[in-house]
Amino acid sequence: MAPSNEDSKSRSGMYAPRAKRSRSSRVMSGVGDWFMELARDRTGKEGYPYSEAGKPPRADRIEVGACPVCFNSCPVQYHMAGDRLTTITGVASDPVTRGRLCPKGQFQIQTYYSPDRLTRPLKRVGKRGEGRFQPIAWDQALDEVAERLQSVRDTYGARSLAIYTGTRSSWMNKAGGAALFAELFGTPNQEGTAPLCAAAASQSYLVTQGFAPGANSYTETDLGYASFYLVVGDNMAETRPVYFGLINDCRLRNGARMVVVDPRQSATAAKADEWICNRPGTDMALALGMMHHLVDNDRLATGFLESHVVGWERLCEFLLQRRYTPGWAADVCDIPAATIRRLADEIAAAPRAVVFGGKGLNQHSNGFQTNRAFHMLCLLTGHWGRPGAGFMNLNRGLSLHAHAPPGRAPVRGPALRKSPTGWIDAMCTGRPYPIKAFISTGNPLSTWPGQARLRQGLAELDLLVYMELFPHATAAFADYVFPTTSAVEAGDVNRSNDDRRVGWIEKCIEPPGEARSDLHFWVELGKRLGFDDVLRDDYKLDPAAFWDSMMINAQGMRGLTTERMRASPSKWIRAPIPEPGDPEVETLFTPDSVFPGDPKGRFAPTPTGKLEIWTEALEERLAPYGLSPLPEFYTDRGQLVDLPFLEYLVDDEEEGIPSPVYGGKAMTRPVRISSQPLPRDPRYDTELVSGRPPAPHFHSWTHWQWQANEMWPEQFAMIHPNKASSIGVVDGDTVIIDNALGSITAVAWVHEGIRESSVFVPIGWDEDQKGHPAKSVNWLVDHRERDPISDQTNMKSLLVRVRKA
Amino acid sequence: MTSGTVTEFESESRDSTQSLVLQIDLERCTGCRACEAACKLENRLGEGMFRNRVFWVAPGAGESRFEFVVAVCQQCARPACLRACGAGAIVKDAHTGVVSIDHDRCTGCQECVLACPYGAVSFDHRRHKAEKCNLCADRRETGRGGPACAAACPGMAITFGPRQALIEKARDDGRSRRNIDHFGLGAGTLYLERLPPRLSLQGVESDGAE
Repeated sequence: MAPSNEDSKSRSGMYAPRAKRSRSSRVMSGVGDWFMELARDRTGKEGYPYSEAGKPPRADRIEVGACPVCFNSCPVQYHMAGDRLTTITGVASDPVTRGRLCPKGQFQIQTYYSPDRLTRPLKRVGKRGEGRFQPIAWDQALDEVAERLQSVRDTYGARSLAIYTGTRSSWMNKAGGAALFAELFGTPNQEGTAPLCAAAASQSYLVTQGFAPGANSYTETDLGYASFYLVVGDNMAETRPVYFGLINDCRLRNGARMVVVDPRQSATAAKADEWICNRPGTDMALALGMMHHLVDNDRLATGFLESHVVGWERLCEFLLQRRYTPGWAADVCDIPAATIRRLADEIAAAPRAVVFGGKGLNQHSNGFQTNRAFHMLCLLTGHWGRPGAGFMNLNRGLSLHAHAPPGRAPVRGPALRKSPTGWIDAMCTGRPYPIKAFISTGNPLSTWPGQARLRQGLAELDLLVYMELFPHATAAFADYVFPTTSAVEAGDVNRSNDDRRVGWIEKCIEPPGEARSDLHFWVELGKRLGFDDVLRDDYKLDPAAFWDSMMINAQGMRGLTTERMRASPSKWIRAPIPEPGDPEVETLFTPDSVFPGDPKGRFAPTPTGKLEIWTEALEERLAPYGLSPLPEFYTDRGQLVDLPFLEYLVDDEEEGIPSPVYGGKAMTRPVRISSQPLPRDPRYDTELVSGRPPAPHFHSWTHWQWQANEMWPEQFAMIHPNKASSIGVVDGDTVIIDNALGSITAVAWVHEGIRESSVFVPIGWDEDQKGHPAKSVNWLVDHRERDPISDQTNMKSLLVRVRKA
Repeated sequence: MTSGTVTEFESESRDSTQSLVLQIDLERCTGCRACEAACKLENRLGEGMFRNRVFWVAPGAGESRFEFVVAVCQQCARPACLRACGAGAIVKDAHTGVVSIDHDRCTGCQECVLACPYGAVSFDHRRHKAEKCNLCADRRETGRGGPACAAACPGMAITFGPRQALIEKARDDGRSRRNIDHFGLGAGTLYLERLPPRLSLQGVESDGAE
């Protein structure tokens, strides 16, 4: 069903000034003649995916719930006719979304009625990776998996089981069923996507304000109320389209100004007042240069700093002493010094400024310190804890987590590494101890860095269990495949989002075939290992009971009951809610406020009760990594100029040291910042930046939905026209992108909205998916280059070569 | 549903206060294609069938920013599709100005598909019928609101209403419109031009913060 738009060319080609456009026939050059191209590509290919064409959807009732797909977490209306879901729309009365909904939230209905869904448990009969399976009964498959897990535990110890919950997982799976199972089994090696995605954001927030989510809300009176938006490494328009719509609308109505810093002219940058193109991985230097300018010119919010912030004087001394001037930052970031000074003056002068950060800050070996540098910029200018002023960077955030009763679970040592990619070498070599069993409720063979090495690791496993909606690339390597449900087929909560909203999703439709929820899987597997006193059988059919009794026991979360969510018109409430009945808080950390539910009644739940930049205790806490809380600049190794980088004193096959920011619950690698010139292979002359694809796609699962494939078919590589001509590539050509780790292909999108020396390739494709299979960009990403503090992998500044295929 | 047709020269409905259109704000559209998803869900369209499409237009000389354009029926005053239809299947409502296809009369000849210079007519190859936007007639007639695309648009870029009222609102807001009536058909859909970038914070009021 691959929707190639090329077939219809003969018919309407006369209207097409440019014939070759295999990437997507809907990206064009030349403003003004866009309608000339429209007459192409009109031959229908598929049938009627929803119902008979021409018959509008009719519903007999509407269930309000949340969309389970991405980190915008929009409330939606599920329109039901009998037991069938007929259509999905937004909730017009919702104060945040006002009925707006992105493409994938709507065509998610294609997941629920997809003919490609996994519907029966399968057992491998061929070789690993060959993809040959036979059906097996649920009970038999679970019995066999339990038996093999016991055998791994007996031979190698409980910690030799690793569990990864992938990008489709809600809190209820990753921090619920999977987390409890890992605890009871006795393995510390259980993790979700956070270290691939936003661990740097959450860990930096925890240091600064003692609370991981951002302090502000997506309302017209808070985030919409800013006068200046600085968007750094965050493609909001494509990753959170509905939130961005609100912000952009407020920007236009209020006359606010928006500046986007990104190596690529993302859709967000295209909407902004100004796009500043920077060197990938150097955002930290931008913040340092801006702060130096403010310190040097005495433009600090001293009143706010003196009353609410600790360690800012130390930071000011440090910036001056290190000479992190705008001129220095200009060379590092490849942004003119005058621009850096102007940005600094603007943020200082703005009545209310919001800095939006994203994966462009997180996914680097300096992700933690880069996030903190922007915190410091906001603090120095007083833009924190006020409506319309703050720093926002989406992360897993809320402490929604299930735990076994005290004393019930075996004592666990620290995790091998916080990042699942830190398990790969242990899979391959058995050092520092072997990982022999792996349960994945996601698709690491697209999403994890180090794809080649990961395949070696999977080959060494005694057991690989895969639980998913669709047979992504990882399925072919599994010993057992279990078909799972989406939220609306089971009852669940939405994804984490930067609006602190937690929303309930009722079960509306029956799962296809024998698909069962993730929670069902963990309960049934747990039962076979004697965990049913904690992972109770009744949770399988009553996820709300699981949520209320297991998931909301942490400080600040006890009021997030399903009763309260269900009673709200849009079925969501905004955390923290310390006790049922407590009010929602739009803006946290307002001056002289008390943090909701803080037992000591303090302003911030940090050790000092204030917002922290530097303290003696923090200095001691970060010292084991070889770093200081004072933001000494370094960046990733994949740079075309000599910049400071990290030397790892220990590799992943060694034990390492306990990571203080993770409370010693994970091991990490101490580092040393080096300023020595790093040898570079001259063949790899292009900076690879990876990132989320346009709005219709979200990681692996949308690639099984015909409409996402119609909207954005092939994996593309965006390159600058000058780069393209230097390698003899024209728009639509297939290019090979490679480095020492691997090689992928993509369709060239020649566009001047990208840094000349960079190439952008989106994530989410894999070689087995139905739409447009392609090797993931993560074949080119080194799984070992990680931020020592958050353990976040650098996925955004790597050196590669781009050639015509 | 329709109460009559107008010929190519009877364009009074263009100026009627009843005339309904979509308005696309080029400043607000982010190219996300939510409108395509909403349209296909509402109108039960499959792969390759479109009543609207979103194009990403790369900057040309002198332009630095990507532009996103929703291509959709213009509800023309003198519709080329209507003229091209030999079966009399395309009608223009005298009151609302909405151009729609009577599928009982459509013979599937695709002359309208070729005739529309805006690429707004696509083809349903299974039923052998032409497909185009009728501003979600069923939603309007069953009290489910305006067009699905406008309701879903994350960027608030698509609005729907009487053409004259939208024009007056745009004028009051100081917005200029892009003329895309290159073919003299009396294109009705309104496109609001992008705004000039705000290059400084001048004029933003202060709330006395530090």
